Formats: sequence, C-alpha cells, structure tokens
Amino acid sequence: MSNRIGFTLMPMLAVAVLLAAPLAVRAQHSGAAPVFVAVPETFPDLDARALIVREGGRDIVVLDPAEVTTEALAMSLFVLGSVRKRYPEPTEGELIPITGFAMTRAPSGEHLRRIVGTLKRLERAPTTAVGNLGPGRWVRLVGR
Amino acid sequence: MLRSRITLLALVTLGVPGCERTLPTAMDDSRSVQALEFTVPTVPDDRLDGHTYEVLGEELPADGPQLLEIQDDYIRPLQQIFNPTTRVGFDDKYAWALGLHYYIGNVGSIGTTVDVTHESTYLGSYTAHKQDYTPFLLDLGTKKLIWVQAKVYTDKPCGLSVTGNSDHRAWWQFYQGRSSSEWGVARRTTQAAPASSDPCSNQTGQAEVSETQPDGITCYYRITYVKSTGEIVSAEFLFCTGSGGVLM
Repeated sequence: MSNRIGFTLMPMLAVAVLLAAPLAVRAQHSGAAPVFVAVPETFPDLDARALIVREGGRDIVVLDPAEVTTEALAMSLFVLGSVRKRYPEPTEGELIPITGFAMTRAPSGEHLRRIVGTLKRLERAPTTAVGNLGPGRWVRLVGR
Repeated sequence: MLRSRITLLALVTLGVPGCERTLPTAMDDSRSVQALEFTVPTVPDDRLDGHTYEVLGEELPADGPQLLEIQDDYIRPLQQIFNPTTRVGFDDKYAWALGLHYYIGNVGSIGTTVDVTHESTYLGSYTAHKQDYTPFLLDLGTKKLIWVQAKVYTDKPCGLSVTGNSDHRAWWQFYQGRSSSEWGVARRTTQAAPASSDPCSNQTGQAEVSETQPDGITCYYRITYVKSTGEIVSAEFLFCTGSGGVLM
C-alpha cells in the first residue's frame, strides 16, 4: 500500500518540480537586476560626469575617478531609476552617458548611510579589471 | 526501490535550470578580486550631434522668428550672410534653440547649439546641423534661407535655463565633394539671449517620495548597442528629467 502511494506521489512531485523550474528562472531574472558601482582608473573619453551600462541582466554605474562623491552616486542611481522606468527590460546593451546633474535635495538618513557605505566599500575594494575600461575597483550594491 | 526513486528525483532536481547556483559575486570584497565584465562601446564624436535635419522646407515654427524683411541695400556687394540670429525658448516637451540666416552662395550651412542649465549648473547641450546645396549652374545669386532647431527633450517643465549659439556659413562651390574648392566663404556666429522656465513650486503630489531620498534634475543620452560587437544601434536625443528612482 505504501509502495502504491509512493508510486503515485513521486512522479507528481517530480512534475511539480519541473513545472516550478521556469517560475524559479523567471523569479531569478525578473524584478530588479543586480546593480554594481565601478570606478576605473581612467574614465572613458565621453562628455559625461558618470556612465551607466546595462547589459547581461546587470546595471553598472561607472563613476569618474575625479568625482567619486555622494552626489555623483546618488544622482547616477537617480538616473538609473528613471531609465528603468522608461526601459524596464532592454534587449540590447545600453550606454547612458550622464551629461549633467543638479541635486535639489541631498539624501539623508538611511539613504545617505547606504550611499556613504557603498563609497567606503568601493574605496576598500581591490583593484581588478573593470569591463573594457582597464583597472579599477567595483562593488555590488547591497540588497541588489 | 523507493531509495532509488528518491535518488533519481534528486538528480532531476539538481539538473533543473531554475535550481542552478548563481554566479559568485564579490559581496565580500576582501575575499575576491574577480573582474567585473562589461563593455563600454566606442561612441564616435559626431554620433550624438544632430546631423539629421530637424525640419524640412522653409516653414518656420510658429513660435520662432518670422520671416524678416530683406533690405535691398547692395552697398556691400560681397556680403553673403544676412540677418543671422539665434533664439531660445521652451515648448511643452523640450527646450530649443533656433538659428537661421539668409545667404548668397550655392552652399549654406548652420550649426546651432542649445545648452541647458539649472541655477548655473551645466546639465547638457545638443547641437543640430544643416547644410543646403544648390547646383552651381542653377544658382542665380538669389538670397536663400537656412535654419535649424536644436532640441533637448525634458519632462521637467520648470527650473531650467537655456542658452544658445549658432555658427552661420555660406560659400560657393562648383560641386559637392571634398575635391571641389570653395571660395567666397563667409562665416558669422550669433548668441541668443538666455531664457528660463518657471521656477519649480513644491510638489505636493509625490507622497511616495520620502524626504530622505535624493532629488534633482539630470540629463542623459541613451545609446543602444549590439552586446556581442559593440556596434552602435541607436542614440536618442538628450533627455532631461526631474523624475528618477531610488534604488537604496
């Protein structure tokens, strides 16, 4: 009797796992893509204060080494939020040169702590290759 | 028998794509020096300039300068550029700079740049170009009009200032092509008086934005490219926005 129940339940369980697999894949890639913050030793020759690169299911904020500040990071993330609203799922690679920004309200409280914490981690990060921009440092945004 | 089925099920489970381990990430920076892989494509200098013509024909926009009266004063027979001007302003969806001039010559060219600022902080600029050519043998020395409008699109109708300038040119050329010599080249530059949109009032409809979140105005381009080759697919006009998002 127990064997008969086992013969019935096992295939059903296997089917349930197989059906759930696509959902797990979608859950892994849907919602917010991971966000990285990088600062190369040499900023690319573009008329921009910062860059955003979106490819491979990741969003990468590239800061100018001459301007690794709370304002630059806060405004870059501000732009990333705007781009995500307009283009939630890019099919091609995206390069977003941020030509300028003016912060009308600085982050404070928990938002400021997170931004400052990210910049501190970035400062301590080891030097490694940053995309095709050469050596630099990078960290992943906490919670992303 | 049951144990073998459990083993089989475990193997099936581990082989399902949704259960694969995600790639390691450098959450602990001191532990890993893994490279962050991505590609920034090479963007040619002129890829972001407006070489596509903003308008066709000679109809000026309703909010731009109207056709000016040409003074038939030929005391200066060698003058080739007449009434060069640049003006700036705001529309519902964009800030603009319009440049125009009348010219004598079979080639006329104009480049107009619009600069956007917020309380003296530079945000971005955009340049539009236009060039008109009349075959030399068909040009009877008449005065012709050329104009172009540079735009910066925005969803922020307040708190912005714009300035603009234009590079006006006219010359004669036997035929189009780099090997053809040019003569009678005339050039003028003009600067527009700055204009500002209304100052922003306190937004009362943004209940979902906490006062601890940053806010501001940003301008950016959006360039799409083929990931595998880095080939540029498209480049959008400069866009300035006051609505962003908070990711932290």
